[in-house]
Amino acid sequence: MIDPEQETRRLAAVRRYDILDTPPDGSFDRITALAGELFDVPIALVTIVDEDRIWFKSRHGIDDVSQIGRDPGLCASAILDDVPYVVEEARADPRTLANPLVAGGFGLQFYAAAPLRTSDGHRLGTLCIIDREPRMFSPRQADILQRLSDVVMDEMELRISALKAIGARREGSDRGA
Amino acid sequence: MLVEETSLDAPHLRALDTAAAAVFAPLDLGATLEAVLGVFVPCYAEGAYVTLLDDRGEGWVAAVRHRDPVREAALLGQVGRRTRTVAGAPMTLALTVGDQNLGAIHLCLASRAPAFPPGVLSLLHAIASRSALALRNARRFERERSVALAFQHAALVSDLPLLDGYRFSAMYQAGHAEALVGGDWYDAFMLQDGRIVVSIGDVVGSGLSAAIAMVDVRQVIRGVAQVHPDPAVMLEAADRTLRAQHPERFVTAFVAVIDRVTQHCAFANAGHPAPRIRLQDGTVLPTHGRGFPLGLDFDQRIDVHHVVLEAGSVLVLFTDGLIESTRDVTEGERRLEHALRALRPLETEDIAQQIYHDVLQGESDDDVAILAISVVAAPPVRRWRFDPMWDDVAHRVHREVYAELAGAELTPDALSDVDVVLSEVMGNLVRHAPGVAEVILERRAGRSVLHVLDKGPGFEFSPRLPADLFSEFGRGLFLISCLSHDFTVERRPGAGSHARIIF
Repeated sequence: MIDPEQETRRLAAVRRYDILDTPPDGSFDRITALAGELFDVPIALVTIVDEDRIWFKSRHGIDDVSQIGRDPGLCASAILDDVPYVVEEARADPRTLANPLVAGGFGLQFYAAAPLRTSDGHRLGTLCIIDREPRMFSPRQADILQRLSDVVMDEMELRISALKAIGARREGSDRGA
Repeated sequence: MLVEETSLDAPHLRALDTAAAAVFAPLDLGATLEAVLGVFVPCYAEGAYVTLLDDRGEGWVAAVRHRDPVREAALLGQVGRRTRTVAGAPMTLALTVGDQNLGAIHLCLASRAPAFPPGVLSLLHAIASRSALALRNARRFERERSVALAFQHAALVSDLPLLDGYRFSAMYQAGHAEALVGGDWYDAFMLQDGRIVVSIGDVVGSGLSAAIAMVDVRQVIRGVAQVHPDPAVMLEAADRTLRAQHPERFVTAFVAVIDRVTQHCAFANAGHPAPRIRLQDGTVLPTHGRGFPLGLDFDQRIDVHHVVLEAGSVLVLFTDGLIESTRDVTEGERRLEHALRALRPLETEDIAQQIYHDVLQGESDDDVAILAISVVAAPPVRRWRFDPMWDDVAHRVHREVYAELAGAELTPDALSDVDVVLSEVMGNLVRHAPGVAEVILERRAGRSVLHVLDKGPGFEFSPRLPADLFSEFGRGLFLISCLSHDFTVERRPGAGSHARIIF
């Protein structure tokens, strides 16, 4: 289960990337759209798991929701491991059948998530795909999903590098003034 | 006998007219006999009875009447008995039409009654002559009615399909005696691939020839369903049959094809009262499309409509007698909706009878046919939903379907055919059907049906006569058709195709 100390360090990493509540970003949206098409699913998301919520950095196929509570826990479960987390038939799966997203009106039936892994071993969130009907998901498909998730992470690293560079330049120009 | 009428004076001619009107009014034999006796008793006799000759020329007492209830009760005991004479009947009037002898009317006169004057005697013979004609017509009508009724009952299916998760209930009530037998029918049967075809209809007109047209139309629908179970094609075939063979008839009809596995119902209507769908929550929806009756002298395009029949819903087909009994269709439809909303499908033994009683409350005199299909539960099936583009998942589906079928009672040869068929199915999906596909295995007693649903090349659903089913798929599907018991491909509404492979 969740180790509190490790979770504290993970949350610090989430803060370090400074991505929560930022506006939509074309590069992430392109990846979720690609995942949607590649796996032929109606919904694909880039999610960041915060202390008490799951926030969507990019959402393909969902317009009206930008975050959900952490409690239902699909993405929260998916960041517990370094490999993709797959639920092929949620209503028949003991891990998920009681989940409100599954049992309730949303009707989630298929869920596959690859963790967003930082170079120092933290898992910030997921690239996940969702369907309202059950489906089969193969190891090869899971592998591709993980590689796409790694591309998302590359984008995040680029973003943090850019932020650092801008920050350093600002500091430099402040000092110069 | 007509000669005698010349000797009738004016009051007697008026009496003859009244009597004739009375005896020709009813259509069936029983009522005509009663009318005949009513003319003689008590006006001209204390009592009377009619004897009729049967096919072998033997007389039997068909009806009796006496003004004295005690005497009448005694005479009633004679009804149905073979006899030529009954005691205490001094006067007999022959019932003849031309040279055909039907029987006789026997009059019981008071013991001290004076003899009839010649004018009255002529009148009595004239009335007997009219009565004979009326009785002959009634007997003919009754024969035709009973033949038509027998024909119709023979045509109505008594063995509705027995299927897990589905309940069928049907009834036919012929109109009351005054009305003629109509050409109503209902039908329900299962195709080899497990789909259910239901139809209901009404041949406008009545009598034996209407019943014959009905049987023809119903049979055409049955036959076409075996080759091309498309509701529009079935109705078009019925239309052509009707115009070619019964040009004087027209028919209203509704046909539906129900796939229990996808819960999909395709239907078409040709001028028939719209069947209703009662949802689990009691909502009552009319089905779409009305169209024109079949057999009219113009070409109409029959549209196919689609609906999903979810578990808990009931599809109710009926003929117009159900809603037109009050001569007010709006009131009839209101009663029907009320009855359907109040229906408890799971707890009702005979849904069709229940609807009949609730809607008509015993006041119908028209023909009524009702067929109700109640969806209790989807059939137990195994489903695989996957993207065949990924060959590892396609292989997994292949293995799992094969393992399922290996558990079915198939011979080793059949099982190796299954292996080839599955390879072809997967290959076809990869080559021709981008996106997620669904494979569903339905195992019924003695038969397994493999459904393959894909998003195939997009096309409009067009309910026309079948094109060559193999042309766009090529050799692979030909192989499948050779190695399976039966194989059909159908376009799905919207896009994609639905293949059914029977092992």
